[in-house]
Amino acid sequence: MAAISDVNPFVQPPKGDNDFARVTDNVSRIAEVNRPPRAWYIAFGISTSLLGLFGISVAYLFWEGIGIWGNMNPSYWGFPIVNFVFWVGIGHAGTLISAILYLMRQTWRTAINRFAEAMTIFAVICAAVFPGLHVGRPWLPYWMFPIPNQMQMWPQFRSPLEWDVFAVGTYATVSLLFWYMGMIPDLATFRDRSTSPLRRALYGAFAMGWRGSSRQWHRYERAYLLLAALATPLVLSVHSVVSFDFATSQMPGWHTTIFPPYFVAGAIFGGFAMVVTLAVPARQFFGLKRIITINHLELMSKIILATGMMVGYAYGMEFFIAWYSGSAYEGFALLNRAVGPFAWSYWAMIFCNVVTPQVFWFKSMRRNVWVIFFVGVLVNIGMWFERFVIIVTSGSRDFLPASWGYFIPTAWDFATLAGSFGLFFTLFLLFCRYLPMVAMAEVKAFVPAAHASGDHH
Amino acid sequence: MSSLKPDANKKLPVVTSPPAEHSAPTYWKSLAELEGRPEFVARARAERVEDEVESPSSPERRQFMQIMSAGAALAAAAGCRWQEDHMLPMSRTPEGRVAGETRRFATACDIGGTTVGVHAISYDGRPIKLEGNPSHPSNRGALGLLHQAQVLELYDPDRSRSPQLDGQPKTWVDFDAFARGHFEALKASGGGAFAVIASASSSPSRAALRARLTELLPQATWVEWEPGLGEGSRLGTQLAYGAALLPHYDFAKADVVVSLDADPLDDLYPSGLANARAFAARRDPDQPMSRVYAIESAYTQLGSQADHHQPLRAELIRAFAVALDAEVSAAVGASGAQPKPTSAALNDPKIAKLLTALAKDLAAAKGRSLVVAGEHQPPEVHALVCRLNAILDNVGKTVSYTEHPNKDAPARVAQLEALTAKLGSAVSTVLVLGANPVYTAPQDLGFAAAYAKVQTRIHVGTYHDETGKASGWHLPEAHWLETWGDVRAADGTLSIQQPLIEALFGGRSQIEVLASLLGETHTRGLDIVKHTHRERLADPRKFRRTVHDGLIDDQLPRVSPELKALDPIALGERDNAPLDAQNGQLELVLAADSKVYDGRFGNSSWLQELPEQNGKLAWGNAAVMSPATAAALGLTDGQEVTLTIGGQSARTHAMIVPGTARGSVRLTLGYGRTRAGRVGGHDEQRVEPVGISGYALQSSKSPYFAGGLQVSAGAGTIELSASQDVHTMDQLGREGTQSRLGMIVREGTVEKYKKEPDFAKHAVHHPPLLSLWNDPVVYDGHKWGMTIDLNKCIGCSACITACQAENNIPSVGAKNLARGREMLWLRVDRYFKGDPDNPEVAYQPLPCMQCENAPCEQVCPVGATMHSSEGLNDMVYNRCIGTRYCANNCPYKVRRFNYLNYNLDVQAVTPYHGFRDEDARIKAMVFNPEVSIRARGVIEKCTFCVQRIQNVKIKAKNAKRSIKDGDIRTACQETCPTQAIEFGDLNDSGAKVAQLAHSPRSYGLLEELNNRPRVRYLARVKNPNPELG
Repeated sequence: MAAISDVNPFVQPPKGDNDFARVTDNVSRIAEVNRPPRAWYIAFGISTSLLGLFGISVAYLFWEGIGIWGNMNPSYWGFPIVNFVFWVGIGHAGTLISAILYLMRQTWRTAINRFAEAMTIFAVICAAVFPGLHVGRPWLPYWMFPIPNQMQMWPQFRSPLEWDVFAVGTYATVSLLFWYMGMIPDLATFRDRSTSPLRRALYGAFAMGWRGSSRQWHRYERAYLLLAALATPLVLSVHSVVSFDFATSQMPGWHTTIFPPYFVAGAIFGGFAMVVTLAVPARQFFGLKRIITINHLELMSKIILATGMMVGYAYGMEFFIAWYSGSAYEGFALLNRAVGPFAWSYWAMIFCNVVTPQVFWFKSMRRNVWVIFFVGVLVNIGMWFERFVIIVTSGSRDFLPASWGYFIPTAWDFATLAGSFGLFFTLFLLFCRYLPMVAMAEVKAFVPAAHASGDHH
Repeated sequence: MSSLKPDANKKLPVVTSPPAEHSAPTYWKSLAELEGRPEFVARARAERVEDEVESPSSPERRQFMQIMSAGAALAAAAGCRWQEDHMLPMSRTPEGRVAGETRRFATACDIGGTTVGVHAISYDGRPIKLEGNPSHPSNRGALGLLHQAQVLELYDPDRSRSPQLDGQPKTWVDFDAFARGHFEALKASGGGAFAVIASASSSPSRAALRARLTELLPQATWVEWEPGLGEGSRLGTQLAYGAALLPHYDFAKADVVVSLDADPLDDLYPSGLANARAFAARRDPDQPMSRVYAIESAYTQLGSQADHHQPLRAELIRAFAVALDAEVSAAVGASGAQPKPTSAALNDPKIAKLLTALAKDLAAAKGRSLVVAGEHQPPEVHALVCRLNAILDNVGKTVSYTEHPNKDAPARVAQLEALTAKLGSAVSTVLVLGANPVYTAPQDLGFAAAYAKVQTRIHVGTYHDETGKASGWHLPEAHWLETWGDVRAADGTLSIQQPLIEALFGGRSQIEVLASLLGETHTRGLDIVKHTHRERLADPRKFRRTVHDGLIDDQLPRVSPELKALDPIALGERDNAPLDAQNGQLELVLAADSKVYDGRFGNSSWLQELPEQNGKLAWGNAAVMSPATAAALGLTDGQEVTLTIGGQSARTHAMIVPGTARGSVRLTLGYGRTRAGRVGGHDEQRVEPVGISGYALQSSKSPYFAGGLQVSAGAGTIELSASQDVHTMDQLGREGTQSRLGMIVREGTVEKYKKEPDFAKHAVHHPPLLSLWNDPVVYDGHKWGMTIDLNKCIGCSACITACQAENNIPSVGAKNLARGREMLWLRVDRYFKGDPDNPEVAYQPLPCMQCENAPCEQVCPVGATMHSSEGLNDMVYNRCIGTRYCANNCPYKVRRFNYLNYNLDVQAVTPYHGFRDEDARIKAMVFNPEVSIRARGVIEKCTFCVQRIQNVKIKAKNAKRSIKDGDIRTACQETCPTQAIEFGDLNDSGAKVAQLAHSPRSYGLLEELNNRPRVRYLARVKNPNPELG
């Protein structure tokens, strides 16, 4: 990480005129103006329409049953679980940026950590929706929680799905706390700048009486550090546990020990891709170019390149192990990914996840917002296909050829997927509009004004 | 459904008065006895009428009738009670009856004249499941899939519900009034203007009534119309012996079996189920094994177990038979052989070699060999087969003959043709009895048009079908489970059919209709049957005994006929054709479907949804051809094709099935129905026909196969609704399948087996299978297990339908099936091995393996699937939330998920609206109350018929005895014609299943995964001719 911290963008800020007031003003104004930019309205309109589609899909699903989707024997899981793993993966970058980079004193994270955390929360919400929807009887998933009940039922703790409940649940809780706690000083700033009583009351309530005293700051810093330390293992654990759904099963293509690190790398990869996909338009439309600088984007591009290579390595290693294990079923499962009926999804994944990030070897590409944005989008597509390849392709051809099948998604599958993006972007746009998008308090610690004497530590 | 008037014809449930000595019981033993008094009878009548006014065809309580038949199973138990012969509502529980306890009643089922003995399982007056009668010689306890599906037909709400005249509802009173006058006039004129078209039946009562009809109307015509069954052997024996004979085979004694396009193991072949059992018994490698050769146009059940299989077009079988005759005659030194033909196909080196080896093998097994030919083959082939069996000294040993019941009649199609010519002119009244000629007559007869010209058209049938629609009078025929009747098996065994339930829709049986038309004194089913057998079964106790046992031994005498010299068989151009046929010269094979037969079972969703034996196609038919034929025609699987033959065209889809003969295109009959019902297709209900009708391409000259077929490719390609090989036919999938076949279906030869009996255990190499934990379950009580002998399975799929009937498995319909949402708990996997044009085929029935170290149990987050102390993977439906993780982790993929509410909303094509509508309530009567109906969103799977296990355990516990081996039989095991499936307690070392599980041939499928499956397969062992190596 030394290489990254060496190029701390705030040591040599691109524009030397960032001072405390300007940072506050820049960030707070977004929430204070009467009318957000037109782009926000367009985006919000599209997102809420998609959210409406999500609502319709879910209502129809509850009415009719899983049969409205393409799920079939033997691809029992299909889109909903692909979407679940996809969203959980997206939800990784936030905590990684907030916690791990915080502990590693990667100060550049301050520019992006708030909305990366927000993204995490919303992605985890999207993710958490799917396991609930995909069960055959969606009114009963609470049976997976260890709630004492008169039916004498208790969860079955040997099941990786049960582990998921706790892994994702813990992650969501800690991420939410971390996000909210980090936001308290900024919410107080919003409260203080409020001109309407309603805003003052609401922001005031959520600011929890923050006055900015040094004692409060002291407690705040301690708690933040503790939460960061608590969240760090979760970044690694949650996707490792999600990968156990597959790794501990018997299905060829799932049953591999490489999955936990591979899933974590993939999650960070996909998470950062989503951060840049969101950051590029956000800094454009909300005038945050001075805070989320091109240097930040370049650093994230480097992480995307690095994690993309890890993911590419995992793809290769899966083939090697399949061959090395000598298992006929395992070998076939991997070959079937590459040249079977679903080969198109495999090569879409390889193109998006392995080939596309290679452009980041070039500095000019790393500093081109358009390139970064499109690579981010492609990597997100690629990461979705990665989960499709693992879940659908492996399932479609397992041990006994007589039970093989071919999964064909229905319109409702796509509607639910698109709808989940609607949910995500609606929440995200509301966040952009009403909450501090950048951690003002943290950024201020690193702007040149805070280091007038030139010492930066 | 027609009128709200009470049906005056329907017999009221009158309780017979007790005999004189019981007439005034001072002390009554039961309420039923007390209520036998006249005032009760009057009250019952009043109630009955009132009830019918409310709801004429409501299936509710009053029609949950129970059988109190004379001498049925409980006759002995209730010996001191008078004989009752009427249906009573179950609202009054008879003495000795425990509500909710099933009872078995013997009866018999006749489909197309082929009879099997049946035990009907009745639950509180509803027959819900059929099993074979173990003492009946034609099936020995087994049933075929058509028999298993009969209960579904019984409760089919689409069955005809009232007499109709020109589409207007009428009553039986109206019909009787019409018939009385009409038939008096016919009788007066000698009956020349009257004709009957009747489906084949083995009923002695119907035969007696037919004789009576000939007496009363001497000039009347009687045509037996059974389009699904060929008559090759009847006409062939006429050629060979000068008399129509019925051959009976003894596969138990046959060391060498040669089948020429024949399937003598089929459930509709005379004694087919008994043949299957005897055949399979000879496939045990621990005993002297038979050697089987099959030369056939498509894989049959027998062919699937053949040691040598040669695909050959049906039209080339004749030349092959001639050549075989020449070779065998030379080998055994018999005179009078046909000259050896010089057909192009026979010059093929493989076939020539096969012929030589075959002749040698047959000659070496004189008196211990058997040659059979398919019924659709021409009479000459059968005459040659008779000759071959005679010169091989097999007659009286492996084959014997009895007189054929239809001895002198010309071929059925010729009879129908002759009648068609007279329709509308000489014949002005036609009675159609159970047949559907408007749909099933070969198109070139123009039957439908001729029939329309007939003045009086009367149709008797269970459905208001195509013929019913084309008729003036339509009369609902009662289902055989609703009526008294009598049937005779191929070997002469007589069975009395007893009603299991009051006719749901008030129909009459064929014999009742005939008797009333003829003005007989006995017009009720029971009276007719008693009258027919008045000499044989005069003693009421004997009659009761016969009804109770389900049969009376009545073997027909075997005849030893004298072989006639055969005329030389002229082989034409088509007989001499080469193995490959050009487009335009292809062969079209039109065979009765294994599921819907000639079309009559087209409204059965169980049968429609059953994947057919070889192509695994459900819900429809297709132009089936071999990969080579498809390649030559440039067709892909599912591509639209137009079949043109004899100026007729039909559009369907191509289906590539390896093992089909080159140049042969096979289309099964019985599809494309427009008046089957809401499942099979109905024009008025706007339900599209399932599949296309093969009859539209059929010619009366050669109904079952014909040359000169032109296939033209269409543009579209569909996804065939097959249960297997959907999208898997790419190169990788084929190679992947072939490479693992040796591990899945383990196979060897007798020679290999003798040298290395446990070869199957070494087919897969794996590290030692260890577990981190000690086994949590010790199985100190029972330890249920199953073995499936792959050397016995002939792929008939009766087990699937039996499982569906036993376990209330819903049908999902064509669309859902094509999407891979099949619900069948038991599937029969079919694998082809080797050369795609002459592959070997293997079937593998696959129930839940009930693994001891079950992958499904470990991954369920809510503990909905748990291990029982007896080793079952219990599925707790109520606890299941439907994550489907268990199904993913099951390496056998035997778990089924209710993607939709199949039992309530979907149920094939018929939409259900809960149990709210009347149709749904009728359909629900078929459910087995001991098995939960699964709702949407839960996983289900094979339970080893846990309800049967529990029932036996409870009974054994109450009787304070232990469970004997064979007490518990799963539904699949009980119906299996070849006894390939064994079930029992693995802890009982004497149990058959325990012995088989320890057989050197046994192996666990995918046991290298350390699942420890409880179902063990016995490897296939073949007995090839070393000369054909």
